[in-house]
Amino acid sequence: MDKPQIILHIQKPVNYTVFDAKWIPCSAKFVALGNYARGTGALQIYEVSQGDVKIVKDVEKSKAFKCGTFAASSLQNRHLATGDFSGKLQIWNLESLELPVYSAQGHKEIINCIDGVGGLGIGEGAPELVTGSRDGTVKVWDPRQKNDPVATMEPGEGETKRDCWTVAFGDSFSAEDRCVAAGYDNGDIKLFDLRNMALKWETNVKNGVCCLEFDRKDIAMNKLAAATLEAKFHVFDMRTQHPTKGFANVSEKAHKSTVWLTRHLPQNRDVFMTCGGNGSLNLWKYSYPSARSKKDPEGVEMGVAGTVDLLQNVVMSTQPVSSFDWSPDKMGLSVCTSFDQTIRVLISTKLNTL
Amino acid sequence: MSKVSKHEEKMINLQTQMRQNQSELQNYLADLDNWESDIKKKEEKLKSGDAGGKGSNLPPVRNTIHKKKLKKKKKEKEVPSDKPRTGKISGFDFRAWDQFDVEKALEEVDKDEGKKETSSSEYETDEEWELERKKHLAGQEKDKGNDFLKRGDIDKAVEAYSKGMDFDPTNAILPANRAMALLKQQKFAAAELDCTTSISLDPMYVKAYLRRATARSSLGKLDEAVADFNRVLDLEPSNKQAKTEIERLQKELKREDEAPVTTTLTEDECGRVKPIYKPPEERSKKPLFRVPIEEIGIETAARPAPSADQSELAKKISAKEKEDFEKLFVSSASSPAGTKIEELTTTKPALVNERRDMAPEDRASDTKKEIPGHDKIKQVTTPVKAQASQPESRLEEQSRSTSRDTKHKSGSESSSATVSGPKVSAASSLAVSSSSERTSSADTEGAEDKLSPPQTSFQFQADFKQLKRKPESFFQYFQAIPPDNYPKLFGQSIDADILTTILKTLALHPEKVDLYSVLHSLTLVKRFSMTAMFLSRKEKQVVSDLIDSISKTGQRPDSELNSLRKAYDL
Repeated sequence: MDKPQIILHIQKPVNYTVFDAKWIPCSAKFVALGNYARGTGALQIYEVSQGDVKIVKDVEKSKAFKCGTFAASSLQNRHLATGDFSGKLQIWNLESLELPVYSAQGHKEIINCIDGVGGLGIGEGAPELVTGSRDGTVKVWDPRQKNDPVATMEPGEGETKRDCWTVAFGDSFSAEDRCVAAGYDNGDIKLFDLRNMALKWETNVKNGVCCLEFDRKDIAMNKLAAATLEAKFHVFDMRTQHPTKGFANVSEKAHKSTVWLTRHLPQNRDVFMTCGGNGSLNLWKYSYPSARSKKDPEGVEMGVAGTVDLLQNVVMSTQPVSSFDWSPDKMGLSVCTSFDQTIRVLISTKLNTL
Repeated sequence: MSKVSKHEEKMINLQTQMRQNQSELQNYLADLDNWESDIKKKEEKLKSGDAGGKGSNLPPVRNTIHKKKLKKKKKEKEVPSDKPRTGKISGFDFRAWDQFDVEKALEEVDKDEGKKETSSSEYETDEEWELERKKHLAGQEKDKGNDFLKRGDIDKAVEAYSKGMDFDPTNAILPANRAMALLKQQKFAAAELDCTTSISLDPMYVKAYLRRATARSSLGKLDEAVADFNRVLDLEPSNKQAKTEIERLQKELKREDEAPVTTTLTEDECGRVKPIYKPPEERSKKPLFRVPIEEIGIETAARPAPSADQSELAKKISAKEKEDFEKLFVSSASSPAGTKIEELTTTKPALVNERRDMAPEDRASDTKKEIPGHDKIKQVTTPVKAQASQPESRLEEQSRSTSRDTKHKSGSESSSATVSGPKVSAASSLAVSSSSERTSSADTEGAEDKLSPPQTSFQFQADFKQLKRKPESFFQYFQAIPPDNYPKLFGQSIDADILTTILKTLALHPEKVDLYSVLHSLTLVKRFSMTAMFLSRKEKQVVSDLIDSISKTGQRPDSELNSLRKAYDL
């Protein structure tokens, strides 16, 4: 009855493969990144206006873009950090897109994923970017330091290099504390503590990890959602780490296809969207258990996972949903892209009543 | 009835829900339109820079050097540490509050904020940190370089210092240390340059002056070297090294002022002699003088020996050169080449001995006349002695060969006496000539264990190299080898060079040896015919002369001589 509705607001076909779309903070505009069939990169800025999207800027760059984020830029600058197919990390000033304001050959192969923290007033501490690449490395960057990453996480000597599919910042509740979660094609999830420069936790969820996201970056780790292949996703309670069992988690089947993405609602951290390989969108709500931790037989604290409930399920496309982004400024407004070369602006209602 | 009502109820519910959703959406869309215009205004504001609140105190870049973080923290602490002392008053200390001047305090706060804005802008401190980091890295490279230098890995040390200089071009120690390494590599000019760099960075750095002085003195810039040492003494009056070096260099300078008298003399003859006077230090001296002199020796000694096959013109030239060199070495009489030539020209080797013994004294007395002062003489004589020590071995060899000769004279004279004077050696050579016909294999065998016995072809080759320019001593040496041993000695083949030398040597004193057995034994050496094929016409002439001389004696039947001629391809 009071279920939130997910309604297609605007649909915009484009002539390139869209990999990522991100709302420009403090605006009704979003940027779409992708690659043209000829291998070049597309960077477009659209503005939502009166039930339609108008294209504001459209540039073509030499290398195809895979991912982008505003999260490490100040609200004033709103610089977009992108990772491209050649492994380059670039930062763009959207006002003048001729040349990047920062450029570094970050990886040897395609940058699959990027995340930022410290900008936009979200999270404490220095602005930092993290990139994950097919070359198996995860690198942390500070836009103030040219050319070199400030931290690199890579497999040790002799270990096989796994394709890193996703990275996420979290735990950035003070100037020093910060964590990076990375998911790999073999189902590994690794949590790096940047303060201690150490691996904090690792686990394997059996299926390749397509997406990781903390419900919030700027608080002590609370929840981590992991979307995987084989139509499964996991939500870890990150508050209590057991020395042997690690973090408690709940897993759920969804989409009957690869779960490509999980995206937490900026205005409500317990609500999140998952996007499927069959073009469907599922809206979920996480419910905490009565007690989030308990003592195991030896008296050591261990976490207790909550439950997830499906709120809404809609099919938007016949192709996988490649990206989904909630507007940070307008609750319920979101943009999603899929491999049918279409950008969609969606409206989700009644989110405030949840 | 109830079913219908249920169904109807459901329908109604659905309808109301749809209507509700519709209205909800309509509301949302209207709201969205408002939001769009709102956000646009907000964005405009943001762009114009009104919406401040930008985090100004960002933490430093992660994982740059630890030092940096420490520095930053200190700075942060320093600022607030002033405030509590002056400003903090307990909330219950009302008397103090009465005296508290609010305006003044506010002013102070304003001032502090102003300071913050101007001085602690993020970029500036970052740059400072970067500098600090680079300096730290430069220090690390310096330590690395010092380690390498200690271990003797000079190339790597130079590399490390260079890296360090890249990191911190303001560090005076790095170029000075690199100069040290370059000095060890004897790259004096580069070392001098580095020292100059170091001095320009730190004009009080004593070591840089010391090293530059060393480099300069090695480069022959004695005046400048002395100036540098004087600078060292200015900075560090007790520096012993500088004191002794200045003394030494000044002597050298004086000597050089007077030296031209002697050097110009020799320069007229041949510029190559000059290096003998130059090197002030032991290590650089040897390579400097050895190389040119050996060249001279090869040229001149090689010519007179094979003069037989030279054209008349060439003979004249070589004769003239020989004369020149004799002149030269009589005047300077200090180089081993000189002794070589004398051995060639004078037929009494022992005389050379005497000459050589005389030579240093001659020179010393020459210089004595020019320069008063005892130290000077030492300096002059020592290099000469150092040079003399080399030919000593050659001389020994020679004296050995003479003593060998006297040996198979069945002790008519004592062998030890031969070396001492010309008289004795003359007697010995006389003895050799008289004994030449009597030389038998048994005799020479007995002598063989005394001389360096050419038992192997290698040994012969080595001896040959030494003796080939001294026909006389080679003759004596060769004579001592029993002809039966030739095939063994020459191994797989006889070198054309050796063969011609032997033939020419034989031609010197054909009467002293059993020519036939020698010539015949030579043909028994493996692949002799091949070597014989390459003999020149003149060399063949020498052989035929030799064979003719045998036939004159009539000791051998003609058939044997003819076969010998055949073997020599005559």
